[in-house]
Amino acid sequence: MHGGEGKMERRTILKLVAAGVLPGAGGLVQLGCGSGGYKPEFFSAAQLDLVDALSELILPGDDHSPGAHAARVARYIDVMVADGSSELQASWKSGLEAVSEQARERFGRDFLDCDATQQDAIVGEMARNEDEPQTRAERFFGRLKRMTIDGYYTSEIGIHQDLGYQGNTAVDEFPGCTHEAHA
Amino acid sequence: MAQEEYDAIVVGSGPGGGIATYALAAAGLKVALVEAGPRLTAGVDYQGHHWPYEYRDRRAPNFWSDNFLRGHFTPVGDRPGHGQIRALGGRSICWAGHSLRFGPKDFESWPISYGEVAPYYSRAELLMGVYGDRDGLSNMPDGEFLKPVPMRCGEQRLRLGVERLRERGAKMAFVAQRKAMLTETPTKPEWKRRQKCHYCGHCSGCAVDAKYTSVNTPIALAEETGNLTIFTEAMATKVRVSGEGGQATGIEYKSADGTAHELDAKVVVLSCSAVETARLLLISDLCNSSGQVGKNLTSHFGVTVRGFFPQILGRDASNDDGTSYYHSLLTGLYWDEPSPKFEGTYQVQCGAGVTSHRRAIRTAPGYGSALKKKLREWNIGHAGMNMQGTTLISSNKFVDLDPDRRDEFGMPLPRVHLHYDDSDVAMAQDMVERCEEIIRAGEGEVIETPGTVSVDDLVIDLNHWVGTTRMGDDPKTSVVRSDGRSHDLPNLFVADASVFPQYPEKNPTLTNIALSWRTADGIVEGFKRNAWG
Repeated sequence: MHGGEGKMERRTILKLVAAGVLPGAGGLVQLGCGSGGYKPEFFSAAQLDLVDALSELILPGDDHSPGAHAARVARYIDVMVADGSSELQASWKSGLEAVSEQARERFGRDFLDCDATQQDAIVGEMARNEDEPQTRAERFFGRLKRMTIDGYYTSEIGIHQDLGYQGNTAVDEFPGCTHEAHA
Repeated sequence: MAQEEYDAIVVGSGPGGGIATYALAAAGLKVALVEAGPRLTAGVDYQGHHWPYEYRDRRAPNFWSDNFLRGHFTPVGDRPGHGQIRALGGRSICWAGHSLRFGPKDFESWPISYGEVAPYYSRAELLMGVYGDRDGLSNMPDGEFLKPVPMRCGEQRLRLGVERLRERGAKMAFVAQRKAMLTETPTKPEWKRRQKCHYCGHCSGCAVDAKYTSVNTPIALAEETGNLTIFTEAMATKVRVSGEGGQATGIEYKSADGTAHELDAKVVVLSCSAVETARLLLISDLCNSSGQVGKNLTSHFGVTVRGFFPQILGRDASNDDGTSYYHSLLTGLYWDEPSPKFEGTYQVQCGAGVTSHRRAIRTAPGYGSALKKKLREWNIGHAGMNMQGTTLISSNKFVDLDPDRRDEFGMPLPRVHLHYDDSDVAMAQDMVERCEEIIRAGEGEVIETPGTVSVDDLVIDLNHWVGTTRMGDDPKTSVVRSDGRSHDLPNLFVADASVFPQYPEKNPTLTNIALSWRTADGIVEGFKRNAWG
């Protein structure tokens, strides 16, 4: 049920990065998500780049921690959609088309060719009715956001760098809350 | 083919079957334990300390989700859930370990009293190793406890909120959880296969057997007696009876390749869980002169409310895993004065902190850096409150056989019928309002709540079904006696939570184990009297 085979692959990659054979995370950023040796399972290379850019807008790198792009959230989404139902796959295709249409209608170019302000305007509009989405793009936003969050907080960056999670390990005693001010 | 006759066959190796097997084998009886699944080994077939990012789909192995068979039933109504764990130990491998005694008031509508069950609670706790605080509560008596596990920062804020509301007259208590995990170095010989808890939070498949399971304690002890034969990957398909139908004579089972086998015994004990025990009796067309098999089904259900406490941000990052999410419990509600709005009561299991990822907060409004900051703060500074109330026992909830669908062994699948009653919704609404009040009294902000509750918000606990073979003194209205023995077949017993005639808000397993032990002791007494031929 779980894909244990992914584990070896990742470890091999990390070893190669450590040995200087492959570029580290910083190097891969410039290559874009669609390249860098990753072959998407469901999306086209262009769609993967679009998912990558959208996920980074939802959870961006900032002075606290790297964002969705560095955490390779688009690859996670690609895997989940590839494994998902045909309905899920259709909704992602249609959602990405809706984003592209918005970019062309409003700014006359592809989303990835829009500048940062224009991209933010498009995502801002998609996010307008988060609680009760009406349009195709608004409904897609919910799906995109959920999967971006899932992918980010199951990544090494999300768990360790962003949340500073200290657990998943053996300790002798559990101290609990030791702060007088909290109780 | 002539075959060996056992003194007793126990069908199902979960909490009830495990303890019954031990009690019978330890008394010198020859026992056959029949389990549908394989034997799995802690630390080999399931392990902790994985990271989700080590896996292609970010799903780290988890005993519960990897072994829980869904879809082996037909749901009818308001999203009932059901599933089977087919493995030696059954649900005792993945249970959360919550071990709460039912109180004297809870037994008032039962054919046995708290006083009759109390010695078995003590024996069970001493064998299992249960940690907890001595709280002195009237209707959730203290037990034989190991050292308790402390609460986390967010839970302390909830406790503070509860204390403030108590000062204004509210009747409730906020206490440490009680769980069957070894918080002290195991010194008893019964615990020689188990290690002290190391607080990694992977309790739903404890790799070091710090948590009690049927396998690591009672079944292992029963094997040591030399009186136990275990049949794994053996699916019981029927209870067999004598020609005139007056006695159970054994069971039929099918092995994984579909071949049918028979086992003979003087006594048959069913411990398959509320849905599956009822299903096996309905398929066998036995023990149902009352018409009550499958009826009186109830489980726990709930909704979740979460709060954010900005006061606890800024602390050093800590390891909040512990013994998985719930370290605290809101209880003592409506014990003395019932609510005018609903029947029964509920408890609220509480947890907090950056903990196992399944309980992590994954929703917050907006997007961008503001969203990221909010999710971080909410995960570090939150406390979660998960209601556990009892659904009203009514004609709206029952198990029967699906006339159309069969499983891989050719047996009719069970249908689980669940339709919430108005009382259920009213109870959940009360819980939501109370939890919101507690969070605010602890100076927190409510960040997740259904607000006004509808049936769509309610989530059934698919591990807590009980009631389908309820006990009682009257054979016309109950399936078994208070000692678990069938009214109809004198040598057929039920040793699982199916026998509960009423269901308090408290978790079922400790009481299941105590009652099943008591039932097994009754069987042993019967052998001494030569009652089973």
